[in-house]
Amino acid sequence: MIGHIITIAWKELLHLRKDRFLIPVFVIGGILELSLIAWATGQPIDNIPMAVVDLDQSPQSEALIDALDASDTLTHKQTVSSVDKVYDLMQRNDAVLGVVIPEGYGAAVTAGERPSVRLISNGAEAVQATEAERTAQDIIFRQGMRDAYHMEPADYESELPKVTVKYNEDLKRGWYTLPAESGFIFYIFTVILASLAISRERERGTYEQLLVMPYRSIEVILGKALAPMLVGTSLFLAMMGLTVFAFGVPFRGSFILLLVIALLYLMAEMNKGVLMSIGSRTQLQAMLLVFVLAIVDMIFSGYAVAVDTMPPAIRTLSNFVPIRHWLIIVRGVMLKDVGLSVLWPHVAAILAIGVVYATITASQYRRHTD
Amino acid sequence: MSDYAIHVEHLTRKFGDFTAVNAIDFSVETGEVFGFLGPNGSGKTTTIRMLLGLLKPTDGTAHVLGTDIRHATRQFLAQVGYMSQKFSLYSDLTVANNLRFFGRSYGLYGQRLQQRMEFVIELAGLGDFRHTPIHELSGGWLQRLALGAAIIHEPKLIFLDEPTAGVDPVSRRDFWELLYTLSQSGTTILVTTHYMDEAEHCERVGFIYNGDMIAVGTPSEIIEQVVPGQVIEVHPPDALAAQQKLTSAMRSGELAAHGVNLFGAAVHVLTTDVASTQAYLREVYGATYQSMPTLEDAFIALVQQADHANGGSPVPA
Amino acid sequence: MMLAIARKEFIHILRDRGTFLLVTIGPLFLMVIFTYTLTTDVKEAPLAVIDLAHNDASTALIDRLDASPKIHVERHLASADETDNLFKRGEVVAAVVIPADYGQVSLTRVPQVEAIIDGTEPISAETVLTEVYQIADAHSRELAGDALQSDLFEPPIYTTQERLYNDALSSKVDFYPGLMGMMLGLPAIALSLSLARERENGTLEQLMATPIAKRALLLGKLWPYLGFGMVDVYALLALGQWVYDVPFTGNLLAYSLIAFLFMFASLGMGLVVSVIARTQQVAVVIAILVFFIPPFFMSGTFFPVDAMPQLVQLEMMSLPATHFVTAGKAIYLQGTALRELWLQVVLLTVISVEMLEVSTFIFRKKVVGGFRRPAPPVLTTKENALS
Repeated sequence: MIGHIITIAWKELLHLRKDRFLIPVFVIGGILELSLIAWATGQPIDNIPMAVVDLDQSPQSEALIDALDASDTLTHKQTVSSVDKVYDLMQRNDAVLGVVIPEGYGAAVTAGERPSVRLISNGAEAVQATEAERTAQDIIFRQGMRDAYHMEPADYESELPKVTVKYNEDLKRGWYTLPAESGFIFYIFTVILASLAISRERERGTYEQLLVMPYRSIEVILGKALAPMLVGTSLFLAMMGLTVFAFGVPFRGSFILLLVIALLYLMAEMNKGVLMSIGSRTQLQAMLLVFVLAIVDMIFSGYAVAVDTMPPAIRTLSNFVPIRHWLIIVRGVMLKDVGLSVLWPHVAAILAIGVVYATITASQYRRHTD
Repeated sequence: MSDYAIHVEHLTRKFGDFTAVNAIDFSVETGEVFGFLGPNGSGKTTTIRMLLGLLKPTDGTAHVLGTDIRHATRQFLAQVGYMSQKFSLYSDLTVANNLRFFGRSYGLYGQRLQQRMEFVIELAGLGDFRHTPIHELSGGWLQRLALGAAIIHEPKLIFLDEPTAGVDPVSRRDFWELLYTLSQSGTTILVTTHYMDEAEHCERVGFIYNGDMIAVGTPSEIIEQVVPGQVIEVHPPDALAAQQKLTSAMRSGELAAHGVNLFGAAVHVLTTDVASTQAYLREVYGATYQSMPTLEDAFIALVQQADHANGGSPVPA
Repeated sequence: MMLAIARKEFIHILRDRGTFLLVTIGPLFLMVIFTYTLTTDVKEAPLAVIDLAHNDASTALIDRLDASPKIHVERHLASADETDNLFKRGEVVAAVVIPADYGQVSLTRVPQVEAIIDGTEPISAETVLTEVYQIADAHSRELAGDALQSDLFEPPIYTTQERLYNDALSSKVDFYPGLMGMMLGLPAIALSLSLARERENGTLEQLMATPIAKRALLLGKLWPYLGFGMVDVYALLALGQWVYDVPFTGNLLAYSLIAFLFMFASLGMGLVVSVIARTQQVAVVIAILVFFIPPFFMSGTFFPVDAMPQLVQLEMMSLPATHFVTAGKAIYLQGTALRELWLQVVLLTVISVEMLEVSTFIFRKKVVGGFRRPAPPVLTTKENALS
């Protein structure tokens, strides 16, 4: 039994070694993609172009404009003479935020008469606009406190709601995306390898030969799964290493726990890959299937966007996608130091999905020559 | 029955409405080289796949090496070898890698595995190409290597599905030499082919056509039964016209023959009344050549009979 | 001649189920999934409240938090100790602690709530944070104003907000035109696959042997996909307009032109991919890298394009999707006139012509002599063969 499994795994590894395309593309591609995403998500949303209409031209209005420009988020791009000009700029996407300071602003603010500043935002850039609005309101408030009451933030901070952020104190997007991305890379690579395992034999005509050899179905499946498992595990370690050491995402929980769960998770995904492999006639079909499934997984998993923001039906469906559980686990262990006592439902779900796939795979393996 | 390596009764396989194999019966004795003949799509491969337990029969039974193929076990599979019609080796791996994989799959390890690998490498004449990826090898060698891989575990019975398709005549001859060697050492061989010259080398043959087993026996028995007498060959200027003309002459009784077949630019006339036929043909076409009927003549005759019985459906290409 | 090729390819698309789905239902199906799931708009995020005051003021605040469409009060806790556990289980994403003296405002002291946010999901955390902050801030100002009968606690400067094109600042509206670039890449993937398959099967070699001009051959292959692609464009526009509430405000003709140029350019690129790739597998991988991933990045869904490294931005400039997303989005959402977008029109045209030329060039050079996959060593000996 063990000998048979090792024989198949040995042969599969030989195939991988001879393939000059798959391994380089995925390893280099994976590292490149991870780096690109690390870079992109490491960038705060800043230097959002702002256009200003200053109808007041007072020291106070200039001070406000300077304060807005001084923030990282906003950059004073242009000063224009009318609101219509702001609309023009927006249409050409040259401005995301417009600030209109009314006539008499300076006098009113010093007198404590609460002038009104008009903010115009470009909804076509919703993400930037949201950020710009928030920053502008905050700065306008502080500037007002300064001009009207000569108060600095320290003087009134205690009268504002206090906000504490936990686990990802600076709300770095990379801390959310990178563990997911590295998980995604090692997962998709493993599934592709697994999905090629049987479709390759079928395409080359060696499948029948394999079927008449005295193997148990389970031996072939396990052997075929072992090689991608080995590759997947090393890829997991490499990607985790990059994420933690190169991109600085903290690892607060137990590594051993994560590694063990990672193996379970890989096994579930692998069975899915082998199943797809059995279901497709050519390697190409298998790869397309994996591609479609990867998109579905990416979407259902909370890979990019939190599952909580999705419609309820999709949230329910997402429970059947192993990567969703994996992402909860990896983020939990890395950022929140969560242990098995909290994660067990997700671990159980991964196991259950894996067992279901394995059962279907084993029952399909021989039958499928008909 | 225990003397039979293969014993088939009423074996039937249907795919939907289509009957691929229609209640065939035949037996192969232990140690025999049995030729399984028929055009492409006639049911040869389907039968072999049933005998290997890859396909479940719709009806009928078959025992292979005493095992009911409906319950083919791994112990059973370990005793048979199979060289499929498709290319059965891993083209990206080397000769040695392939053989090692085949050997280990059948439970050979260590010394024994080494011995068998060397045996196969020598058999295929690939001593210098041990570490060559096999996609770099050419057709004849591949064929021998595939055979070697299929017998690395010394099976009692091997199935060869069109092993020589697409191989040049010299390589084919070499390949058959190998088969005889194997057969002499006691291995039972079931080989499918559509090369009739190869079929004549088999101890016994079975003809399958459109799923029906239309004849089983030794080559000479079949020729004797189906195409008794001799073949007279003529070379008319227009062979097709001549064939039509001779066929109507035969039907009207003018020509004492029982078959008129087109063979390229020649026409073969089958007859038991050699003298009168020869005289008739000489008068019309000049020179005639006389020969013994071959299995091919027999097969054509059998196919015509079958088609006639079926309302004249043509031979599928 | 070109028409004959085009007709053949059209029939091929209709016959091959995979290709047909890829160019017809594929874009719509993916769009539906993406729009549902890629939105970062936060709805009813679960919140825990620790009310230590239990008075009218705290009850009013809780009601107000719950009334916000972005958050809802999921749990009431007795103490803040439990919040960590809830965060770890992912049951709530924020906790609001209302102090015991909440509502007891004096000139020297305004008791304030404390909000604890789970930062694991930074994008939604930021939205929740802002929402909680603004509601709590406004509420405490009102309380103070009522209690002291003074407008001292009003903000020193009021702001009025005006939002153009997308009143709710919904991310869905922002992303939709960008995602269209992604969906319209599917016909190009289908084209690369189809050509790569012909190469693999050797039927392309057959075509090469006919006296059809190479450019006409490639163009002929391209037209049917372009046709299907344009149908996809209108179907996706209709989907956005009537199902997803992403109103099209620009000139349909201008949009059609941009879309046409984009499809032509990316199909041209698809031709290049398929003449470079040796097998279908390689073609698929390259095609996905070229047609699917870049518009995803470009759509601004996750990554502000301005923030990308110079090198990547430069590379993006060479991809048709970049220009389509820029111009298409402007026309779609902002009703920008075509003359403002002349640069994109020129660039897309240049890429189209270039791709066609490059693919023709490679096609001539490489495909003719370059079939690396040898035919299996078949030596047909027909003598004695029955079939």
